[in-house]
Amino acid sequence: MEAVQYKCPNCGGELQFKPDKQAFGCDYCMSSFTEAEIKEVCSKTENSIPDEAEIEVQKEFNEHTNIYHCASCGAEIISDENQTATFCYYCHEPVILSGRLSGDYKPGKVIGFKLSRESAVEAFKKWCGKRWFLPKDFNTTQQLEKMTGLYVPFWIADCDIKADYQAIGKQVRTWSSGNYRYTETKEYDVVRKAAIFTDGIPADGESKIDDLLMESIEPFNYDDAKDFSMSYLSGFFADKYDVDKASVFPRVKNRAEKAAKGVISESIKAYSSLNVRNEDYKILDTKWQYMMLPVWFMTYKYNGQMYSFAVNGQTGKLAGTPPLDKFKLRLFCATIGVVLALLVFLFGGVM
Amino acid sequence: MLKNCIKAISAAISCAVILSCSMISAFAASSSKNYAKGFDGDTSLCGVYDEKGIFSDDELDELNELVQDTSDDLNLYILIYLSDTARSDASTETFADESYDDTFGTDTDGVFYYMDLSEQYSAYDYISTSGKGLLLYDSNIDSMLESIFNYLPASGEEIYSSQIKSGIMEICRQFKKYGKDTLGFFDYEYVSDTGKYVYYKDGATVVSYKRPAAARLVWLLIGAVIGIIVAVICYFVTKSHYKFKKSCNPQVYVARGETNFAVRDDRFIRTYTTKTKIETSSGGGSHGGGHSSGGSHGGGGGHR
Repeated sequence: MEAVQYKCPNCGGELQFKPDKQAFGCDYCMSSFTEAEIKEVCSKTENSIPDEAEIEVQKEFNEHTNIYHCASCGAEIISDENQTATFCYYCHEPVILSGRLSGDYKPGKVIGFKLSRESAVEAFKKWCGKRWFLPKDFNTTQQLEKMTGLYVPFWIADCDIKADYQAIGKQVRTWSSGNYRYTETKEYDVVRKAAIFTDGIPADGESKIDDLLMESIEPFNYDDAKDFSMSYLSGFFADKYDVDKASVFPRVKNRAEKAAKGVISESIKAYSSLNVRNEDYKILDTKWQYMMLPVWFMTYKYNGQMYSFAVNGQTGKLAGTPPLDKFKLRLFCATIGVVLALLVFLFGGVM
Repeated sequence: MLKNCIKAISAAISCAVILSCSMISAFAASSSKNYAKGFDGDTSLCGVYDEKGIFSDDELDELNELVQDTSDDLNLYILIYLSDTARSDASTETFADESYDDTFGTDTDGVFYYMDLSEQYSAYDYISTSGKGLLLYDSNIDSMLESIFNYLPASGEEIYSSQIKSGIMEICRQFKKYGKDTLGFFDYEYVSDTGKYVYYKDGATVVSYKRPAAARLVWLLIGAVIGIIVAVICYFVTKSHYKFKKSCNPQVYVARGETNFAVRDDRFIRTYTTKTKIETSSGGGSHGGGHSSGGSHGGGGGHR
């Protein structure tokens, strides 16, 4: 008898039948599918044996790619064969050439840098200008020179979501007549069942970069995505992923569910309150792409803490946690407090 | 950029402080004069002024003696005015203050009781205080009037001289009751109409534009508390701006054209109406208020 083994459509892990749920479950990403759902998904799956051209591209990628290994923080950084790394863009320690990249880390697509280094620095200076209490040397020329163009490995997920929602919606109207206030309440059974699709939810595959930092410079415009070529790496750094798609799936799932929840909420607007009876968002299928996305990246060490900043290399959107010079802020607040106290003392009870 | 901002703020603050200090110094130099005239011991003008003509000469002499004794005992000028003229509340207050000043002089220690016996409108009695009288009685006027009104006829009732006599005796009792209070460091009043402070210092009344030490201490504490609160709020609000901003809303990734609602149903279940009675509340009256005359007066009144 032939054994049948199903793969998880979301992360590729092996599915096992769970007797307690009477469904197929993935132990890696915790997805769950009924037999009908898994058969439907599997019927769409194709065998993907790489063709010769694909093998050739993979070979070229392997031959012309260098991997640098930071002895200080352990980061692994990809660059083309001409790139000389001067420092690690995470910890600013010198990096050493470790060896050629091997394995199947070749991205499918890449979005090239649209924002020049000068523009990224300008955007960063503008962002700093709004903040008075940054450390003195935070946006000096020396610091800004550390801004590095980096291709960050991203898993891009397209999700097929089944939404099932039921709630009791209330419409309330009040009016007064004589000495009485009347409240009329109308109750509705609100039911929504929908197939919702999300396109291109990104999740970075780099453990050293803060996930929220990367989410904050989204979205990227995938219309500019091209087939990956080593030529895009020239002049920039690049990372290989160290977080696989199974590991990023919970994040993708969470965001996909939030997106679906938003769609359902948008369709229910006529009620003053909703008593939710059932709310279920199930991801039936996920299609993945591995893509390199352009990010201008900078880190700053202050009071023993590392602060990371990122500028979307395509749109210029900037994100990061500004370091706070607490001494400056305390001095400022104390001055405000003393002046105010003095004014109250001088004019209090007179004006 | 930051340096320029801090420089600008520092300059503005320095200017404000220097300007304030100069103004205060200039003001203080001309404001330390004591305008208080106190009580000179002459009680000849104290007594009861019977405009209504309700008492005989003998009765009036008796009451005058009572009031003058009280005045002598308390070291305060006291005049009780039995009015037969109808006045509005505001003009009653002005009349009381001006009559006091005309009789005893401005910023002397004393008290003027205006008893409305005009029988025209709702009777409005008013106590005008000055100097030490202001410090002693202003915070007690409500309870004083409440006690006095127990002896006086209510608005619209017939007026008997015996009731008024009892009322005057009660007025003197109330003046004595609160007139023996010991005035302390924190007993001071600011009269907004004249801009003067009235306080007690070294056994004598002081009426001056200069703030008493107690007021300075109180405002120093208030200033310190406000300064600390504002500084702390400023610190935490600014600190909150140095946090990470929230990430991109995942709804931008929804393929809008591909969303397909298999069920989009809003089925009416039921309707119900509730009714609640609207509670109505009635407001209370108030009395007292500011009015200008030559001296610094306090006081308060009430309707009988």
